[in-house]
Amino acid sequence: MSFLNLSLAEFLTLFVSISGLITALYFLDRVKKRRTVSTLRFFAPNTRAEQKRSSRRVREPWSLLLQLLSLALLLLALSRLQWGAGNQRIRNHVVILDTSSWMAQRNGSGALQDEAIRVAQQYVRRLPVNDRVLLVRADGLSTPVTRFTSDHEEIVRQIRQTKPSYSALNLAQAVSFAKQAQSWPGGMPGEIAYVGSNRLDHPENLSQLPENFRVLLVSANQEHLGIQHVEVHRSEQPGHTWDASVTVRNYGSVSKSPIINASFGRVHFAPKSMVLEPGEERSATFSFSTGNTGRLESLVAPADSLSLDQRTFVELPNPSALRVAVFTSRASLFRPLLDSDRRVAAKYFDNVPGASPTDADLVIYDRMAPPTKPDLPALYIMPPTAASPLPVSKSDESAIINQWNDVAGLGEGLRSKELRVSPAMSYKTDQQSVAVANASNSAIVVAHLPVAGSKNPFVLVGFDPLGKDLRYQLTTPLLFANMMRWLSPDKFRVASYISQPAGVASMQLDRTELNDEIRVVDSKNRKLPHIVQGQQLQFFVTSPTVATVTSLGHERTFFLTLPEIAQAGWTPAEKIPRGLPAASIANVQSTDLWRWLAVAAALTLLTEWLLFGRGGSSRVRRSLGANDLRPAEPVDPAQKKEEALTR
Amino acid sequence: MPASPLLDREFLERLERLTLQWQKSFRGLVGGHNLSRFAGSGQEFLDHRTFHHGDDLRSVNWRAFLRLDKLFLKMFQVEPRVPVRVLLDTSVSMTAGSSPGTPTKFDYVRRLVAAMTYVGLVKLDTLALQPFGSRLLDPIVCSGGRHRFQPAEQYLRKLVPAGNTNLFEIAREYIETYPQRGLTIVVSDFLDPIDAMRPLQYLSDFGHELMLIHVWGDEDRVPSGSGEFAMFDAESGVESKVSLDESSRRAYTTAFDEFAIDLQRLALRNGGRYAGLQTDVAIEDALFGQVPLSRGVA
Repeated sequence: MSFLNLSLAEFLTLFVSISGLITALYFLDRVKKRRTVSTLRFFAPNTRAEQKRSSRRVREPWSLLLQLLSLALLLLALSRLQWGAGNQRIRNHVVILDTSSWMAQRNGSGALQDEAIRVAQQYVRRLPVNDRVLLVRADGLSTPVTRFTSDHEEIVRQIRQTKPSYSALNLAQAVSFAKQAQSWPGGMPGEIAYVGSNRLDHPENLSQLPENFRVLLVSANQEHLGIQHVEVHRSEQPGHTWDASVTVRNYGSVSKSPIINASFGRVHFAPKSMVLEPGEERSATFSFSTGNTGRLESLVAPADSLSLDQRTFVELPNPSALRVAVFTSRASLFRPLLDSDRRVAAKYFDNVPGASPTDADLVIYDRMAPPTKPDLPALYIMPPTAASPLPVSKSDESAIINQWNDVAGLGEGLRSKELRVSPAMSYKTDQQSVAVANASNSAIVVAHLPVAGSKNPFVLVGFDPLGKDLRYQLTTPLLFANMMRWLSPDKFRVASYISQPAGVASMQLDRTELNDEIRVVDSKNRKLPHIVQGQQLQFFVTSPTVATVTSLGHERTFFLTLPEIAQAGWTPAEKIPRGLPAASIANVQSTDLWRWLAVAAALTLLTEWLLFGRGGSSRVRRSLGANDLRPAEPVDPAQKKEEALTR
Repeated sequence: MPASPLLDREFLERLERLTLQWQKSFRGLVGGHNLSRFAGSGQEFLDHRTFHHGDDLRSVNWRAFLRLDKLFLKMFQVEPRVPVRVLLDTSVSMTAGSSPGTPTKFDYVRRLVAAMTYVGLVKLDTLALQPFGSRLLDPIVCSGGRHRFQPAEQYLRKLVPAGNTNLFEIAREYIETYPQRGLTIVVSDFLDPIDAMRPLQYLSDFGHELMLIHVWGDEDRVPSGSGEFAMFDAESGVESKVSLDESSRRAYTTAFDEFAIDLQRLALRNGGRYAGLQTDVAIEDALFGQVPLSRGVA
């Protein structure tokens, strides 16, 4: 006989405390409704059971006993008294099932995960039938799948539905969760059984394992080679050239000589071979030119039993150029400046049209101005005063630029002091405008920020950067580069495309990015939470996805499709029990008595109410010693009068 | 002691119309205003008789002699001075039995006795107020007219309920203390746990004319409430568990009424009178209604 929900001590504590309360209420109830009367003579007792006032004995002991008995039966029902199963007490076991990426390793005809499922099911079936089990799936996170239940078939079903994930095993976290779960009230703690491989992260955290810990390891091939990281970015070489770097790691214990293959579309690049010592990682680089969009695939050969991280890909976008419409009478001066950048495709026009050009991304007005502001980012160079987008504050024959302001990168790299320009026009700035260059405290280069919802920022230059004074100055191309980058940042970002494992993604920011606004979004443009510590940015994803990190001058696209592979092996201590336990000898089905106990409690309460409640049988109560005073039988006054007359 | 007087002036003025009455004639007593069938030296003419040798010539009716040439003597009624004693119950049971908001039997009895005392004083009767509990307490004799009411009223106000009712002992002590027969007005609830009838019968057998004024509270006759009660006897302290419902309440009231009928029967059987008063009946209504009906006052 044993308790399922409460221990004997808990049962006794509850019973004693509630019994005391009931007894106190019993006495309290019996002394209420006191009344002092002139005489008792007209209450004709059937028995002379009058008592002295000072006595406060229990007057109906059977009533109190029945109430206490029903309380005991009810508590026994709540504590789920079990009949049978010898003296074995119900225990709570936790099964930690490894679902890390390593479990996707092929093992014979199936995967390691399948073998782990079989072992876990065998373990559960060997437990005593009344013991309760909690199933936890463990990878980078520990996820309880069920509550503590004695329905072992349900546990077996849930085990069967387990699949490997994309993260490495954090066994220390899983064990900690299991210990906490076993401390929840109800039942004794049983075993914490780990079923899985011995590949995990941070094995040093497993130094303090509990005594009830058991290990059921599945045989895993420790030798593995996989792609750790792939990064692709534009080359510094002219043309549409890309540089790709593929990093491979040897997770095994013997050195290996993998061959790394890469291809873009149907073009296969020359394979690269290398030698990797155990635990070493090395990179192979590929350079290729393409103006098309497509997928760069990387492959490690020879394949081994864990193929998840031996092939990966990176999608490369179509690098379209910035379409610039230049309205100038000095096209020959603009061509060297604009045509030298492969990211710019410029067209030149002599006259300013009435409407904005529709086939341009950026428009440059050289000493011209359209009648209405264009719906495009625009660069104005000394526009006519009447058509200037900002009011002219003053015009001078010449001016000296003595201050450059690094506003949103517009003044980046511009260090010229006392730069004389002629002629020069200064502009009045408004709330949306910032001065990029000042001459005698007047804004001579102004950037007008886009108003919310508007697409048309513009930069206003109040001098001629292509004049003979400045044509060959470094300031001119720098200024043009800064202005065009500010006006169309998308086309001028430094783009990288990276493939790495899901989970925690970290990257190094450029120093120039530290003051920029950083955006991290997923493939559906939903924001992902991230942290920046120093120059390190980190964010976390639980499943394979594509994420983009954007700053003012950089754009990085992460293809988080590689699995996170545990980098360390773990050998359990000798004292830790291994393998399946012996089959339980107390596998006897016990009888749960709670229904019968609950019915007995209800019947006892009903009996007490019938006997001692308002409708109690007076005869039964008297025979049980109840003090029942009832008035005498009613007398017919007419009969009494007749008797008196005849007397 | 209650702060306010037991009776107000207006009520006292109304009481002046009443007179204590008794029915019996008691030999050997002289004085008072009630008629007696005995001849004596009273004021009221009773009858004539033949003159005998040795009679007082001053009593001869000379007019009758002139007319009839025979000597006749006038006879006058004796107005015996009947002792009137009021036995008022001051036992502890007189404090119980009234519901909240109604006067207790003790307070009611004091006011009633005060009123009766005033009635007696107005008619120049002499009343002895004899309180009792488990034994007779110190009495007070009231006489000398209405202006002697104040001491009696103060005496009544100073009374304190105490003691258990023991009518046997009271009757024995009363007979020893008051050998002279007279009108004995017993104002009580008569809730003697042993027996109330035989002690009263003893008093009547001894020759006292009994006037029983039976006072009870509303709870004494019809106990209120329903359910289980722990009832305590006010005098003995004995506790009993009682279950009250409509049928038991009716049975109780019937038993009480029988008791009251027995008291009444005893009084009438012995030539006395009985008046039953519940404490929610105003004193005025009692003295001008119930008590005159029993011919206790007129």
